[in-house]
Amino acid sequence: MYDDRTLTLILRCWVHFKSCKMSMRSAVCETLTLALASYGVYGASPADHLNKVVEVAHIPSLIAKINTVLTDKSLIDIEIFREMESIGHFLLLPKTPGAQPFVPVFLHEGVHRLMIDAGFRQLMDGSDMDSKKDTLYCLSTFIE
Amino acid sequence: MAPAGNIGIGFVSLRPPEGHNPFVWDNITLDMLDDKCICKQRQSRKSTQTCHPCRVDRMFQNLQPRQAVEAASIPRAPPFAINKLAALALADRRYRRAGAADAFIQRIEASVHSGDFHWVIPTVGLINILSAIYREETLDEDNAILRTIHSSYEKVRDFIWADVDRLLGISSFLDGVRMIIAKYLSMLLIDPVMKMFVSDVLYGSVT
Repeated sequence: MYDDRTLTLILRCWVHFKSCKMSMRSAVCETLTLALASYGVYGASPADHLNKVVEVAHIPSLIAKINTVLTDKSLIDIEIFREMESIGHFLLLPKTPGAQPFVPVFLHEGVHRLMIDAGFRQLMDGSDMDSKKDTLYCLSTFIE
Repeated sequence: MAPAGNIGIGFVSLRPPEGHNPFVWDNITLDMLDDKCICKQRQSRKSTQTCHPCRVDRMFQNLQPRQAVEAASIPRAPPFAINKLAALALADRRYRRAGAADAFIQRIEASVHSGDFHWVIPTVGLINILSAIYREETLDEDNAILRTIHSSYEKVRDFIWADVDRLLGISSFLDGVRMIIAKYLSMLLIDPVMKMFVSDVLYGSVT
């Protein structure tokens, strides 16, 4: 399911989803996480799937959406964690270190700073202990 | 990463968010049964004969599952029959074993128009069948149904693709459609074999 049309549909659903309500957005985030993840409970995916994603992705709108989501102060606890998990999967690819096409783009656009800020806000203001732990884990793998 | 949690199990709610007119979503009416029922809306029984959802309700009460699937899968089926079948496929396992998946796929393929969102309700039916299978954990018994849905993926995707540029718009209806697409794809992605599925057809660059 890593052809152009499927990946474009997944990315467009995530990028152009307007409502920030988690009851509706969780499906979109889950799909992005499932498609991008390559290990663990999410099942295996082809070795170079991130290269296919970067081919169909429209980078400016993707970066703009990431900025919007990570700086939205109304997202807290499980909501921001879902988003951070999805965004983190753009970068994580532990088995094949050569294939990380999103790393230079994200570093250039300063996504890592936004990510750390969002994680910090979540740890300070969040009330749900489980999602705080998950956020810490997510951040630690992200920084690696 | 954190544990997967509740991946993809559950009924896709088609109801719009609060504060919206539940009957019309930005000029595109979404044909759900309760929202379209004139009797419940007006609190009167006079319109029972002309109320399509109530007629479908009465029709389906007298039909066996296989008859209901046949009645909903023909191109000239009464309005809202496919909606009723989509709702029943989640609640009752007899309907999916009577071939409801084929009925939904036929309805998606039957439309001569493209780009009119006709695939939304049948896709919800497919999501409901997959949700029910994963929720009841009858993967072995319903293997044939799973294979039917998985093998139809390319065709369904191309029908969705006909509407891909309309997905760029902003409205709560389109948010619902985007959610349905995402749910449908995630219900397929949680199958490890289906996730590695490689399409035979090669398309050019799309963006």
